[in-house]
Amino acid sequence: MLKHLFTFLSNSGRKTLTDEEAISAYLETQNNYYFELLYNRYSAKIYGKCLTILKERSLAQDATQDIMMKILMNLSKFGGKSKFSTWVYSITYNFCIDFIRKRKKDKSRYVEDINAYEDMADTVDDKEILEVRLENLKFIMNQIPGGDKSILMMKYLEGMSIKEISRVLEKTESAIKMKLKRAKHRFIRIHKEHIAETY
Amino acid sequence: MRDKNVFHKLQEENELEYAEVHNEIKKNVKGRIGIWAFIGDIVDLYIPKIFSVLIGGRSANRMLGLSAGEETQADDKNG
Repeated sequence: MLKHLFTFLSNSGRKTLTDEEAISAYLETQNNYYFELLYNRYSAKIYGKCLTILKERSLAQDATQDIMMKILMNLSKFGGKSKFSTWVYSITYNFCIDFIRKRKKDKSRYVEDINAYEDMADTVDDKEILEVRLENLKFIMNQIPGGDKSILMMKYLEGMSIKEISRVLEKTESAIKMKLKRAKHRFIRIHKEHIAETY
Repeated sequence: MRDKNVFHKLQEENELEYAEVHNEIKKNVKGRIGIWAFIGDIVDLYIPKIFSVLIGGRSANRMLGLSAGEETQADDKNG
């Protein structure tokens, strides 16, 4: 109790710490106050992404806990080469993709779908994806595989470039371009089918 | 400032749901940190002792080995 009071008093007069300052302070002092600061900044965002990718609340909840622990354990490995948020989100996306990969059903569906889209020729305009209504986006995101969801989120939610996505997923840029193209095609196909069924 | 697109809106909606599970997640994370800290404390406390026991044991063996050698040399000199 006294320890917490001391931490609170010693930090109350301080300016808001940046992520990097909080990390170095945590690594120096091992004081949980600094990790809690990062936790409060990112846990909701991580949960939101996990919920979109994993669909189920309980899974998103467990994943958020595991990701926060992974961040804590690897905090000393954060080299500051990218923004801390980018590092956190790359852990989040990779965690979710690995999680989905472990579920065999999803994997087999993904393989089938890839084969079905080998002959796609024309590209999908970003505008076509971004103009989808929120209700329809929810439906589409519930239908497409986690790998596609992650890549679409990295592009349209985080605003990452192909190069950045390739670095996060440790794949070549051409592989990412192909994956993105497939994901966009699948997105549009499901959207069109949904619109046709609904209206 | 970047404009909010439909993906940002979905993310915001999901983040609002976080309020419902926030306490449970935080409690679990704190619990896990506590367990790790406890294991860390145990390691801090006992690892140096284990090392000192091992080192002590080894040096005792060496001393015994040395005195056995000395004894042999002494025996040779005496014929």
